[in-house]
Amino acid sequence: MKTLAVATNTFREARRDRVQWILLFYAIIVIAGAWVLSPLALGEAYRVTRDLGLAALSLVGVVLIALVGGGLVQKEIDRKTVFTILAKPIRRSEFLFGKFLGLMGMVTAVFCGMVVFLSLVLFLREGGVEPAVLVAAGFTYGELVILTAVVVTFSCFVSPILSGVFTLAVFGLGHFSADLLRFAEQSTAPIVAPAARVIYMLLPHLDRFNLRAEAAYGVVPDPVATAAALGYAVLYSASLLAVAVGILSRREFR
Amino acid sequence: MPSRLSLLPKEMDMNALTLMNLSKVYRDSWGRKVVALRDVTLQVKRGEIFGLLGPNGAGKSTAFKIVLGLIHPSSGSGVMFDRPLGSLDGRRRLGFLPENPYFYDYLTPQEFLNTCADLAGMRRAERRRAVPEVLERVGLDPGEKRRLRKFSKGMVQRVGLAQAIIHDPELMILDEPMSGLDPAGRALFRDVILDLKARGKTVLFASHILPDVEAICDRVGIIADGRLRRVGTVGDMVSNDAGGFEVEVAGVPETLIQSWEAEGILHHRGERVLVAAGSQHDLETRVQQVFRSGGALLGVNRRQATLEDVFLSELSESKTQGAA
Repeated sequence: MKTLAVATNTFREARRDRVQWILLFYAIIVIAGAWVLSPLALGEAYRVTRDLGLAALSLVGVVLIALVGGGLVQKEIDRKTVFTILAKPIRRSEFLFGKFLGLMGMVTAVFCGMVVFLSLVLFLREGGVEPAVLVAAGFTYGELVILTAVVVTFSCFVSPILSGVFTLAVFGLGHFSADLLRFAEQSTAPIVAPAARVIYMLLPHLDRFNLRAEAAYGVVPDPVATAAALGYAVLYSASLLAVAVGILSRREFR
Repeated sequence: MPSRLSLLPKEMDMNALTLMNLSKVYRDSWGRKVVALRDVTLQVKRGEIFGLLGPNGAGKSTAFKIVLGLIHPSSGSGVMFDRPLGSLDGRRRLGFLPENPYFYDYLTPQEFLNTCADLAGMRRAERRRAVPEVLERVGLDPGEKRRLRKFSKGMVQRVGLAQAIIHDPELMILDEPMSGLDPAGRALFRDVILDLKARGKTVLFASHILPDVEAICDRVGIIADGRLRRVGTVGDMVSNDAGGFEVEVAGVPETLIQSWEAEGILHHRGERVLVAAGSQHDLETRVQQVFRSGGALLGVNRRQATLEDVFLSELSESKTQGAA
């Protein structure tokens, strides 16, 4: 109940902060991108639209998470609202989960808006929306869940700007985590290889959630792969939030 | 002051809050130790209004934050209604107004108070009744539709008081509740605090505004440099603290008047000069100075000390001890 109160509060604040404008930004990317790139696509215009639409879902989503989520906890500390909230009979873990759920609610609302818009554009261009596109969008959502947990964790101990920048960095590196593993396997240096393996283990494997190529050709992943990706997103986010609770519980609010 | 061992369970039961040898040491960004609180022992009795007086940086807010569990003490301990400081059970019975409160920009007062009521564990029916009631009690319109970012400092302060009392807590901790309020707001806050006391609640508050403290507090604690220097009723403090004397003289040379002015003890200059003497010894010194300079002693009056005199004298003593 208390977690829900914090979540509602967070969602309401974010919504009134005019984050819905990000939807317009997304619409401009998709429409302008499809309009500019389609003539160059040599008959593959619908694939370009799908690819661009799905890529923009992920990019706009992570920018939104970095912008809004960066200051999620730290701003409460800087503005001292945390004194008022944590003086109430609420556990720090409830407060943190509430912040996570509130941000997730906002991300979900904007994400649904973007998916509806993408579906509308695809419907108008292709006369329908293939299930593979919606499955790929679902995988992108899984990626955004992980990144929301990442930003919430960072926001517990670094400034809003750094939280946002670190989250964007994790997003970038997370998409190259497989390359990092290959690098570790090929490296013969005594420290570099284990260090690269550790970083690989710690980074989220976001390339698992990139099904844009499959969606472009209408390929739907098998249920086992889908379940594995879903399980990974849940486990990774839960582990990260557990770390965040540990950090927040030890933190002093001077 | 009683030590931890000398506090009997029955005595603790009578207290809303007990702090025992509480100390807090921070490390600044250079790694140097900063002592924010030194061995503070304090009991706030149930049903009383206790005022904590101290200059900025004296340790008042640090003490409050330890009580709330926002920071952890370096040593010492305490209980709030027989529960450890900062515990969930303790916080259920507590209302807190932070210094210079700042709330969520985009919420209306009703939305914010509903959230606070939710966090305090109030049921929906209770909340619906309490939110407009408490808004009215702090002098705000229960139908107010503006968001908090459009509120003046005084109005935000009122919302702060409303969120602290909405769940009808047994202990209120108010950090500088009167700051930023106009005279009408201060009078309203005083009334609310006195009303809380009348309903058997305990109020612990920090303030710089001494007349307010003098007017409503049952007991006062003076804290300086992290140390609780005195605790007592205002009456006791004032009567125990002789206000010293005021010496009325005439015909003293300008150089002597200037030296008194430099010492900060000159009360009035003109044809007749008024100079303060804090103690019997000071009085003798002034009289000797007057006679030696060829001036005339017109009279000596005993001064009644005020809470401000006591407060300033404690601060000055604290500074002297710190320098030593």
